[in-house]
Amino acid sequence: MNRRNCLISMCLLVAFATGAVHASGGRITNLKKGIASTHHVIAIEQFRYSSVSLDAALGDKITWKNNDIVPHTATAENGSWDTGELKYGETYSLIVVENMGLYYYCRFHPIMAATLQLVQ
Amino acid sequence: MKKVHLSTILALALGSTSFLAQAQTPADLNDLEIAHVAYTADVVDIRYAHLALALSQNPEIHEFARTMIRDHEAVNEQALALLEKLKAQPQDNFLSQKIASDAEGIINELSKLRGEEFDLRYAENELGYHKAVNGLVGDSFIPNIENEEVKSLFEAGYDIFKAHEKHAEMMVKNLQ
Repeated sequence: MNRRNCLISMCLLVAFATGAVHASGGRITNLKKGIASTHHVIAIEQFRYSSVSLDAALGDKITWKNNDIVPHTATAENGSWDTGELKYGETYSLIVVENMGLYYYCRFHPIMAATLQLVQ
Repeated sequence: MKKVHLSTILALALGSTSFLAQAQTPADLNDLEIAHVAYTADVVDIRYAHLALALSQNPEIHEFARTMIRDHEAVNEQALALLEKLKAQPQDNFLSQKIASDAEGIINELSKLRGEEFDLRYAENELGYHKAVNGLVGDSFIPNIENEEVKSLFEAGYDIFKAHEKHAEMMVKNLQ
């Protein structure tokens, strides 16, 4: 095994040991400390969020990725969180917490909006 | 004659046989001429937006104008990158010239307005302008573009400009 493959194997071992890697479809489940949480990926394409109403639980991770050639944002209506400007190909992630704004929109294009639904 | 602007010119270009006799139709433009029209239309809308930022005090108008600058610059950046990749130069043509000369008249008109009068006229012009350009892109350009990469960029641009049209429509309603 060369040095590069050795490093990759070590990284994977660490990831599995901490329960951080388990991919399934468009979601990635994180089993760290025995608590199942999910990684949701929302693509921004053709002036739409790929999930208009996403079910997410506390502790889940949500990543927005902009696939449009113009910049977008995902911004909580109540101002509690904001991805900031996402240019083409850029991403932003956050962890779902209590009391976070659940309705969000694009600051640049207010015709774009979506919601998060908190589930147990 | 207050509202004889791009939409009228494009309607003439699309439908008038006497106009067609004197010049090409939009459907006759080649890919490089179409690219020139699109670039010109983007630059014109950026000019309107800068005027709005200078003359309007309305935060909604400012936000829209900043979006127009941001989006049209992003589209033009992609268009120039594609042309560079294809080692091609956009070609000036009758429609680009019409759009540019018409814009001078609109900018002169807008420059004389202030306050709510400016805001409403700017918003109405944005709505009419995007409607006209979208008609052109959807009906004449996309069906006729030969290069697949250029077509794909125009399809992405079409989505963007349709969103701008909806945004402008919302802005006009809020101002009325």
